[in-house]
Amino acid sequence: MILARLFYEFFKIGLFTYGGGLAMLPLLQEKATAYGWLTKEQFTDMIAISQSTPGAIAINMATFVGYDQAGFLGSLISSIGVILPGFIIIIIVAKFLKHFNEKPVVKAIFVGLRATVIGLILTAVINVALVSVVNIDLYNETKIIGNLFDVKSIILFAVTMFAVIKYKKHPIYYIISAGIIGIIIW
Amino acid sequence: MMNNFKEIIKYYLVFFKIGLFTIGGGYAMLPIVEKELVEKYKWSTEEEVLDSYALAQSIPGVIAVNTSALLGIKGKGVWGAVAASLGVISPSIIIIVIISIFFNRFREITAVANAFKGIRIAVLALLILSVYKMVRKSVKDIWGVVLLTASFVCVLIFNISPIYVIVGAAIISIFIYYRKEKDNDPS
Repeated sequence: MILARLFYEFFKIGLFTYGGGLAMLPLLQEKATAYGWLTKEQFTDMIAISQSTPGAIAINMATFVGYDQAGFLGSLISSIGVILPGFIIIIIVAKFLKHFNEKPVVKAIFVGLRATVIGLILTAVINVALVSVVNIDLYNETKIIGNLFDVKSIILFAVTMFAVIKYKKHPIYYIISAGIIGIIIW
Repeated sequence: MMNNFKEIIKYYLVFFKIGLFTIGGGYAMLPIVEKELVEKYKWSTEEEVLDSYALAQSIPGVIAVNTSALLGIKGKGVWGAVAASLGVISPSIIIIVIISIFFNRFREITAVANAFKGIRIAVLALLILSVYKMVRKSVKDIWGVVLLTASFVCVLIFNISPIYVIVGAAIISIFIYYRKEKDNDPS
């Protein structure tokens, strides 16, 4: 039963993911919350691991959730589910619609969707912020505004943000560096 | 038949290698695809690789897998597409399953928990930069700003499913952009 659900949900996620791995985040976040697949912390950790290991980010995330829910078979079913809609469309496009992406209607949809998807990704970014620089759990417990922000977190965020903009290295460098700094300062 | 089967297996293995050396998805795969498919095996031309990558972005799903499937289907038909897709996702599945086995066991350790406290902050910074780059690349007019803002508000404030937002935005985009794209269409 869980396998059927994983397949169905990841098929839907694959069908509505436009513009690469990050575009999958809002869709996955919705399902992860609805089914209790991942906490906000796990969701964020999964993004970090998916960005710093080989392979497509979306496949890494599907594998992550699938394995967590139903073991190896779950990871396989989820990954196949997420690639199947694109695969079916490719078979059709290759056979019948050679210049699919040059059709005005397809172009029009994608110009709009590219902007739309950014808005959706931003909602996932908010959730990541809530478990990284903002300590929403501690605030909800104590209701003290000062507990909402942790000074070390804010400083680390400012430094990382600066480095990310300035040096343009591969994400894996920042992820590993921030991990080491985390061990040292906390 | 046997020769064909061998070729299909070879497609699987080459795309396995491509999956293994693509860290971070998307663009990161292009240099290794060009090296393997164009230079080494001469299965595709440089142009085919770039065309497939462009087309892959207009198809739902995972860009790296779509690109692989398109190159596979051009070279060896539907079975080539199956082999290329499975090949490019195999390393991910193996590596993530191994990490998951250890991750759940180790995340309770204080040092690991603290490392991830730092890592989550890096993830936030990286996501913000990605979003900024996407805005610069893809938001080209006031309608882009409207669509971006509206989708953000719909999901965050009104709790509307991202799926409905995407379907709605696709329909609205036809009304906004179709005429312009039609006028620009050379054919």
